[in-house]
Amino acid sequence: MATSPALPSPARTGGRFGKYLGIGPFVFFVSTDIPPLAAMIETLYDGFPIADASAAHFADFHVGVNRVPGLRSIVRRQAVFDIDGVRPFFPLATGQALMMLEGGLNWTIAENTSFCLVIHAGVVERDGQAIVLPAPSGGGKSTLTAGLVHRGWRLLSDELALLSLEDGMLSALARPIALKNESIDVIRRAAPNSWMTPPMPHIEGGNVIYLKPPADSVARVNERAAPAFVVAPRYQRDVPGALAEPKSKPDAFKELAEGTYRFSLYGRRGFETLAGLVDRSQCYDVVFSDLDAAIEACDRITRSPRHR
Amino acid sequence: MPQALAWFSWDSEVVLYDERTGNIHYFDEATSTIFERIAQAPCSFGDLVSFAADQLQVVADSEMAAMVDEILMILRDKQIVAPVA
Repeated sequence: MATSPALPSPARTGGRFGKYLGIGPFVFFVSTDIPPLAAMIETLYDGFPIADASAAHFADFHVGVNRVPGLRSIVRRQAVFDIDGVRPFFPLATGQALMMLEGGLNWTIAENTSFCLVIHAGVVERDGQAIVLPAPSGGGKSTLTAGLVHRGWRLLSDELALLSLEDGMLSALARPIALKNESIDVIRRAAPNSWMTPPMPHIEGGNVIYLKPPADSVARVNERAAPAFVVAPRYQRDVPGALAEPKSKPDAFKELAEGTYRFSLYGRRGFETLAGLVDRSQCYDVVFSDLDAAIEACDRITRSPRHR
Repeated sequence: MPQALAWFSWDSEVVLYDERTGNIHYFDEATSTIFERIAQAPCSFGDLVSFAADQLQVVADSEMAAMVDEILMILRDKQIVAPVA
């Protein structure tokens, strides 16, 4: 197992940055001609392994975020994401290049993966038991994921759960965690020693930062985990602390199915795989206004005697 | 029961996948009770009304029979159950 900085090529060539990144079950070749983005990739993805250094010229996906050329770039500096030479999105300002890359990586995985279900959910693991945290954007999923990770849980993902169609195990990605608006200060207080990018304007308004994943989670990125809990988090300002309530399995299934990309394509196998996850898991809703209280609620859920 | 159906039963509710259509159906408790009884083995309408009333702890009266009839009609429309001779 080699780490990506040890790879001899392609490195910086002609002012252009390129790097093979082994991100869980995928190998990406990521390139950019935007130096600040290259520096952020170097820092955020420091230590990510690549499956085999001798296979350094193979990647599942070649992605890039590069400046938009032409006269318009003189008045408005823009960058655009591409995958294997195709540009699926409109350009954004170069200051949003990292957001474009991270969103592009999510899109690439969600749209091009067929060996597992890709669910819009966070995943953390401790003592061999994983919590799947499904929630719509803005629901507090990434905040709670980041909070748990900085209390000893291993990060598998803050955004995409990869559920094997073969054996129902969860693969890790351990990529940077995106935090928006109020959650930025919440995590800054909860994890003051963590490395974060500077805030950048989010495409939906407000700001977003990216939190560097813990080194231990990155080192264990190829270690899979068995799902044991489904916890649907929801941030709600007027709730005192955190309220944890059992969630019915049909409701949990429905929420996960609605959050599974291209679910209908997987047919009966997809249904049985996702239903199998729900069948084996204890399911809860956690509504919270306070991160510490939500983390304690998760600890109580996962440490209660019936789960041992 | 058609081979194309796969289902899980949780908390007295059935979540069913129909391979022929790709549709997922979420049954309430009454529908789940009737579906699971039929899935075990075919039975008469009268037996079904008695079984459902017992499970749902209500009286097996004409109102209950009408509800069972309505649920059967919905399940038949979706080709999830079919009458047997």
